[in-house]
Amino acid sequence: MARTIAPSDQLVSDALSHSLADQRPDRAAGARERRNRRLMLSLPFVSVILFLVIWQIIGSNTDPILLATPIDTVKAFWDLLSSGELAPAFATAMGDLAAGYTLAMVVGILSGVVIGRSPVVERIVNPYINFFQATPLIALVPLVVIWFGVGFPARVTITFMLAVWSIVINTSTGVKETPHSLLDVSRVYKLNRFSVITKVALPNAVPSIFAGLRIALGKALIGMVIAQMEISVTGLGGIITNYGNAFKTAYLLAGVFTASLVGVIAAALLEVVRRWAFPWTRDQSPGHL
Amino acid sequence: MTASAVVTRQGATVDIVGVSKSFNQRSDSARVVLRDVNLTVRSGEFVSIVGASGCGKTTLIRMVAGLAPYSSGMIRVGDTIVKGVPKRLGFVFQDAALMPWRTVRANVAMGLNETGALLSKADARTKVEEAMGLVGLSAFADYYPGQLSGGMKQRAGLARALVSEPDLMLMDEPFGALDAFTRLRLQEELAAIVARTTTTTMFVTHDVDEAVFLSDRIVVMSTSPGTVKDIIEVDLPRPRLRREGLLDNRRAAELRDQVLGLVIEDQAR
Ligand SMILES: Nc1ncnc2c1ncn2[C@@H]1O[C@H](COP(=O)(O)OP(=O)(O)O)[C@@H](O)[C@H]1O
Ligand SMILES: [Mg+2]
Repeated sequence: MARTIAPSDQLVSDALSHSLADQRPDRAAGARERRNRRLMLSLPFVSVILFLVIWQIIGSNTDPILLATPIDTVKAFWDLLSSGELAPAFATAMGDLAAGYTLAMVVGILSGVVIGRSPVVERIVNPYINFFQATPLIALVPLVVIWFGVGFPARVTITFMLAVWSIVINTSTGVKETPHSLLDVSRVYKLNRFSVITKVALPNAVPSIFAGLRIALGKALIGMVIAQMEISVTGLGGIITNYGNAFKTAYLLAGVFTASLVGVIAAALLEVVRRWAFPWTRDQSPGHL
Repeated sequence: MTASAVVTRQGATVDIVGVSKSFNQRSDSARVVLRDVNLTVRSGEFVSIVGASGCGKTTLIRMVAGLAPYSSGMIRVGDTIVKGVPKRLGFVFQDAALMPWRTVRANVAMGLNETGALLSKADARTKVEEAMGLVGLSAFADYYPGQLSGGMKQRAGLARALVSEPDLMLMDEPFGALDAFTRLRLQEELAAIVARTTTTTMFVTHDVDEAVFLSDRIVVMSTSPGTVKDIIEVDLPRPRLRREGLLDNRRAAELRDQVLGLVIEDQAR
């Protein structure tokens, strides 16, 4: 008997038009929701402005060594920028972070996949993951200096070392939690081992991986700044250390806020990549940024 | 469909001979879930499996699919004894089991993974579009599963199973989680689709009316341990017509009562 798949019959297309009608959103409710959203969105700005005003008042009545005012800090920032000191420091910070964090990303995701797919490997490496999770890794800075010296490799190592663990753990968790039904699907439709990882386990882990990447970014920032402060006295960490030693608090704070800026830019880049490369995760609320 | 893609095919036969299944429990005692199940499904036949929850319907159908091993006995699909997943199998899962990161189109295309290598890209694409048309999802081809209703997800799961023109379709309570209206509509669509193909279908359900409406035969299973209690021939002409959700036919009502009686009798035991 010949078997063909023919276009659908009347019954099916009736059903389709029904389901289409069900999909239309309610427009008035949408507008109300948008107005509420706008109100909610303005709250953080109000809060920040209020904070700056209070800080300015307190700061102008305090010894400038203890606390610089926001206006002094902005002036210091401008001074650092126009003297040509800030741009290279910013670039060094971005470079250290990019190198250490990218390395952590590659190593973390690859080893996370292996650990997530293999219970044997998981059991073997679990003690080490737990150890490094529990250890304040900053305490290893002197050891890293002994091994790698005081330059770029040492700073990248510190950044990497702090960032990698959250990525490993979140990737392996995400991979391990691939629903049984999806693994059944990949068996029914005969995906090979490699495709099961690339087409099922890894995509399933993406939301979890990004959560890990976000935590790791915070830790990488800490590692990068500490390394610049304690190892090379360069970049933004160097600015913070040097001006701190000179009791120039406004310049110190300008360095701190530039470091925050590095973090904000990196977090935004991460979010852009997630939305662009993984559109199906868009509907899941990213929480906060 | 392009002329070259029309293949003369036959639905697979399924032979389940003396199959038992026990799960090892933490304490050494193995729990027997299925005992001495015997069932033969003919080529192109639509067989429903009904029985109380926990009687082993899912276990049985997963063993036929090669997704779980059986403890003893033999299962044969076509002329091959089931060890891994049989060739040209379609499986529709209760929870649709779509990949959330793939659009409907890409999910359906996954059904061509086994057989698609033999097709040209254009032919494969045509098949995917046809399968989506068949279940009325063409307009939603670029949607992600998270944007679909439960009924539409099941349609997508069905299209993924149909796209390879399987010799055997296994369905595990595919409409069980849907609301009554969607369920009725999908039952009718499934009947229409299956009527156009030669595939053999094993359909697990706890809805007796659904079983009567769709099936050539209904296998009633008993519990603890699960086994085939009775097999009812559904001697209703096709196409079957409904009124107010129920089959408009005295014989249908008799069959429904008979099957229901068997299930209830077993539970009262
Ligand atoms: N992996 C498993 N390990 C142990 N027991 C199981 C497993 N899967 C199913 N069972 C048991 O087998 C019995 C039959 O389950 P199932 O086939 O899902 O029933 P049904 O689909 O008919 O509701 C149930 O009592 C269930 O607890
Ligand atoms: Mg079940």
